[in-house]
Amino acid sequence: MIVDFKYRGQSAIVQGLETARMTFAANTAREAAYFKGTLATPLVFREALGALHQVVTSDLKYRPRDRLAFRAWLEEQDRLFLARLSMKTEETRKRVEELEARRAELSALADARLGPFRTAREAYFDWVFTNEYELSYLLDPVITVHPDELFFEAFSKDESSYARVGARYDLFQRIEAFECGTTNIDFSAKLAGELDRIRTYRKTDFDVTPDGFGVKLGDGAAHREKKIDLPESWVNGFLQVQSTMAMALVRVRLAPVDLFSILRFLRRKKAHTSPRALRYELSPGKPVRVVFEPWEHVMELSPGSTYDGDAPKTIRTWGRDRLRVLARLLPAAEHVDVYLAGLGLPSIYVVDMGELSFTLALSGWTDNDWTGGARFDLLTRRLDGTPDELMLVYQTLRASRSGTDADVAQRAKLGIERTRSALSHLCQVGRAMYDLSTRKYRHRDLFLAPFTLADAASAVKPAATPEAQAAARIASAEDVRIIARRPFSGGFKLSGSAKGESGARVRPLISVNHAGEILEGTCTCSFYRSHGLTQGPCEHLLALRLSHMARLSAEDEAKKGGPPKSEG
Amino acid sequence: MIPSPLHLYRPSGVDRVAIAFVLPSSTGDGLLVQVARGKTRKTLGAAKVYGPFDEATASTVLAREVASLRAEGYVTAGLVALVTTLSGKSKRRRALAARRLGWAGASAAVEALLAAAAKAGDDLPTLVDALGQIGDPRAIPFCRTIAAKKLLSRRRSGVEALRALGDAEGLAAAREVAMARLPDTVRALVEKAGAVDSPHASPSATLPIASAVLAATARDRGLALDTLYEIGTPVCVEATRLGIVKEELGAPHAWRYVKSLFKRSMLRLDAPTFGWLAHAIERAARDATGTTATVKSGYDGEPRTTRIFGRRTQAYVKRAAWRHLRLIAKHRPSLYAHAAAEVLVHYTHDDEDEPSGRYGAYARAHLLHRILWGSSARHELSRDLRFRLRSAKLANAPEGAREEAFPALWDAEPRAYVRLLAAAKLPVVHELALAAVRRGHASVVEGASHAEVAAMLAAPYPPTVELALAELRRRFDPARPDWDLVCTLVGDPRAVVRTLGLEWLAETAPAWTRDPARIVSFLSLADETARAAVAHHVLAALPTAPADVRARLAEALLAVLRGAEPSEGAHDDHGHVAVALAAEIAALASQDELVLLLATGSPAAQGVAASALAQKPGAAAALGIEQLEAMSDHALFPVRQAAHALLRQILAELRADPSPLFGMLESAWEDSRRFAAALFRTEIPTDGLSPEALLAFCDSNRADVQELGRELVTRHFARLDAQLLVKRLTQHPSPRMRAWAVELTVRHLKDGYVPLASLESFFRTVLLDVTPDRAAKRAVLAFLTERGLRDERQAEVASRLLSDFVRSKTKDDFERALGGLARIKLAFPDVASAVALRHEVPR
Repeated sequence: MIVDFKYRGQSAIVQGLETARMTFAANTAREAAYFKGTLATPLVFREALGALHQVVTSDLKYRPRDRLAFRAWLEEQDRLFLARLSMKTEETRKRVEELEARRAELSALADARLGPFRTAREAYFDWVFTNEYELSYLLDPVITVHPDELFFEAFSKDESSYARVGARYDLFQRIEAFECGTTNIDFSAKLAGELDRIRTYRKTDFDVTPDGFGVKLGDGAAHREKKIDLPESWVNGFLQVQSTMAMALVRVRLAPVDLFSILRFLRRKKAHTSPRALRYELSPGKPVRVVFEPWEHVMELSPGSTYDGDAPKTIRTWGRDRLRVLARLLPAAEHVDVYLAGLGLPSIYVVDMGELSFTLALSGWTDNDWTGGARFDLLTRRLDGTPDELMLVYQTLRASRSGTDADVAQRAKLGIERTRSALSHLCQVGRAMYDLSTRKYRHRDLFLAPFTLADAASAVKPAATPEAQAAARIASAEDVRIIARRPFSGGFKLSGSAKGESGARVRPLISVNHAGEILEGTCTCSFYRSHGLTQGPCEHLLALRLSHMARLSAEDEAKKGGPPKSEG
Repeated sequence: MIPSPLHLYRPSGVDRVAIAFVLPSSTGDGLLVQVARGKTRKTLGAAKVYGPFDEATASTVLAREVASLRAEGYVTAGLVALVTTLSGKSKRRRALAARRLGWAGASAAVEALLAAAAKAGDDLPTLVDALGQIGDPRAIPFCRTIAAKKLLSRRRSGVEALRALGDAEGLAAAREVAMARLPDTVRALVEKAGAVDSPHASPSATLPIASAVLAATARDRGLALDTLYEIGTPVCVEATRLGIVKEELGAPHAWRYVKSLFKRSMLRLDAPTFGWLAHAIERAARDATGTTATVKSGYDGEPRTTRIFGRRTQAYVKRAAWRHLRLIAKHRPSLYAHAAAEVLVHYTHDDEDEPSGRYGAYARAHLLHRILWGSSARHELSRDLRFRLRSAKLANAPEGAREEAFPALWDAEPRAYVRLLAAAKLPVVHELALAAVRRGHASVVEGASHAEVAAMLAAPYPPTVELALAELRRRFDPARPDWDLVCTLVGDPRAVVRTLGLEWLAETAPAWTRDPARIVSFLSLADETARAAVAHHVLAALPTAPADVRARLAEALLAVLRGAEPSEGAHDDHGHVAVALAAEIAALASQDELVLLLATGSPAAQGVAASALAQKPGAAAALGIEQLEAMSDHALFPVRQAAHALLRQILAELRADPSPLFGMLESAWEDSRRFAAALFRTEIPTDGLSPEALLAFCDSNRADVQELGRELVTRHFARLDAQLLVKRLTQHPSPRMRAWAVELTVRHLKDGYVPLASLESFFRTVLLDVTPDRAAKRAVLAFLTERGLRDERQAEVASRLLSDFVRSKTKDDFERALGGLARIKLAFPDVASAVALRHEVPR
């Protein structure tokens, strides 16, 4: 998908002795969202945006080392060895040695002579990298202006990290004007460098405007256009993040000093062998224990980082180097909420800095992007709905811009379950997002095109994934039955029996919350044995959930006295 | 060279047979011409003998005698039989007869050929080819009708015959039809290049045409290439050669056109195309056994499954190629050596096989073997067309024996040896040529062009390289250098040749660096390495050059720089030299002209203009401070340098208002920042700068500017508000500046709760810095402890920070923090802290 970014002006920070103006040029190809205000605490904002830029440019995927030079050297050594073998006389050997010594001398001279050239060439490539790379590859962050906050969202180059900076309006000393909406902002490396010059002793105006700085600044052109071939995986990944956030997650609250200890350890120790997981060992009422693999180094965190869940858990997460972007936020952090989905599943870190929150969502591991086979949307509830319901929920959310599922349900005059389901659909088509820091759904149009009834119709179609289709087939063929259903404080524990397409009967076991989201699950099928939940749930787990949701719906209708309504 | 004997025949009369020939006289003092006649060849009467003559006279006398015999009714022997065969029933024999008549140029047979052609079948192309070769205009109308046929074999023969007959009108009609056959993109390019109408169209058009052909579909490419070759203008022929190189010759849809091109090249005696194709087909046949494909027949358009480029075809092509060379040797002897050389130059080591038994490395290199060892009695041909030794004992050639085919023809055209020496890639080929040169053809190397000798330097055969070097040294006289030769070598794309050229360039530098015209011509060489070397020598010579030479060179360079740059970077080396002549250029060009050049010239010209402007006394004022600021941020180094020089002209203004230098300190270019910093350090008084301005230096996100700020702040520290300074510097994100801020804080922060509490976030930043800066951390821990002991309110702040930090998993810092916290707690027990006091009663 080719995405156009058109900027009438440049994003820039202009510093004076007493004032500064930070202007972000908004993508003119999108709706005219704008914001104009004066920052009250610019340093926190500086650090948050700096961390956001780090996420945008980060690419930590494993790339094998280029060993061409080494191989060439090895071949040269082989050649020399063979050449020496073939030397028959001592005189020849001496002569060859002399010549080789002379050649080494000349090579050293050549290296010395070419030194400045190579330095200049390296500087040139650095320049090309910083100036051209971002024009062709880096995806500008998305900014959304809402009545209570504005937030920036970005996805890393390697598609493994998602970051969100939410700035509540308390961050601003004065707000002159704003227009709600979503757009992209021009966020260059040069601008990121300029961020470092923000100070509290300069009154800092903050603008998001389609005009940006209309005048030409430095050597850059005032009018900029970027055409980026946006990978499908990027878009899907962006949407999968929302699915993950809406999942039922294990939450751990950490004191900033504990995250400091973790990051400091990671900085000082470099693991050269697998496994390289960061293992959270959680015991109710006790400080969290973090284990660093492969050294099995145990770090018991401070009492400020106590787990308040009701059952002990051990969760391993990978790709821990990505946490380094949080380092610069630590001094301003009040606390850090860690949300863990499970073994090898995504983890989310929400750094609360008072008026600002920084959310960092990490995929299961660095080389596994958010769409590397994982379908977390399947874990969240997928109750079928109608396009009209979806449009109604979309328009309700758009009107209020944000709200909890209950708020939206009340305004839309729709059942809570159907509202949740619709919100889940909207998140998965990029029309809404889930704000973990405030636990609210927010309207956010990721795409330029308006949301139409046709889009809604295609969004509510049964999921096209093979697992979801298979689950629907199992449920409709009544090849799944609930053997036991036990309610608990957070939802239901279900055990069942399902017969998949292979014909073998398996035993799925799930815990779902009241919203229908799968909290935990196991199955005796081969898919689960191979992948666990890292690739999303298997068809049997989904079929069991469908069966459960249908039964719940029937029970609701029975309570109301009306006829049971089929929900899937 | 002694002419071959001429056999003549008369259908009537007593003496039906006559032979005219030339032979050396027995005394060895000349040549004798003999004419003998008789009833049969075996019963010749006494010969008439003329001579002895020298070679030229002998040829003249022979021609006179032959003419006399023809006047008596004699015709070339065999002609009658061949003409008679034309009316026979066998197509094959008719075709063979026609081919012999064609090569012999028998104009007497034209009518018979036309008659045979009128009722010919599959032998028609051969008959038409023969008519073309004979070149008699009587054949033109018939050939035109054949050229208009749709069938490729007919059309090819017809058009090639018209070309041989020189029929411009017929060819024009054929070209019109051919143009319509070309793909649209190719036709447009051919028309654009004027390749149809002009035989001398721009050669630069060939590459786009070839690219357009290659962009066509696989099915269309072959026909397009054949059609281009049929059009036959130099550009189209060259484009065909470029295009065919990329083609897979044995592919089903390509082969018929490759074969067509091969036949056309033979009919045209186009040695370069023939040589390349003959070798390329032979190479392709090494790894291909042919494919079976369904292709549309040329006869009736019906698709038929047929074997394409199979073994039989491959063998046929090999034989046909050698037959063609033999026929050339017989009928066009002066062309043989050149045609053979064009074949030989394409063989490489890839054509070699691992020798096995009697089969040598070139057993499968059919044409190479035929040409190089065609006269050898040591080899024989196997049934699968591979050459082998007749006996293992014959591995070595007899001393001094010449084994190449037609050695006399090689000796008659020794220029062909030069072609081999310059282009052949196999040592065995070089051996042949080098032996010939040493044997008595040394003069051909002396007569070779510079480019040819330069090409020999890249030969894979050291004796050839030595020969070329010797020849070049013979030609090169440092005192009176042959500049064309130097240019040829310096501009050669091959490193080994260019290196020699550059050596000579250095050797002759004293001569040409005093000659502005020569310098400019050298600076315009196509190769950028050569241009850089030229600039290097000129720059080295300029300091000692006479003033008039400098002035003339400046004028010449200015003239070049005023013009448009032919390609990106073409003016760069002119610019490097011209910058060194900035004073002379400043004298030649007006200020307005230089400003115009600065605005609109090539990058190099802009650099020169800026350097020259810097030499003009009033230029800085005329340009204005804004323009100079822009120049100091220019992407070109010479422009920035000139801006710096010009800014130095207005130092007084800058002292009064240094604001432009603030902008320069934020330049992306290090040299501009360095220049501005140097001015602030040495030239611009900083006493008048406000504290905000001094702090603005420190606020920069560039390390060099921060360093300047630190220097200036230290210099003016006495007049600055230390508290304000500390407060501001603590917000700097740079670790270096933060460390300095810690240092200043420890030394200058006012005592009391408010100053300490205002820096709480700074202390947290230092303590929670993941990047280790041990000194700063320890300084902060010690400072907090020390301040915490002063009073209770400061103890609150210090305890809060240390209590938080003491929970970290550090070791040394933890102990320091804990120690500090304990001391504060002991001093102020009521202050909230992470440590608690426990009073133990001594037992």
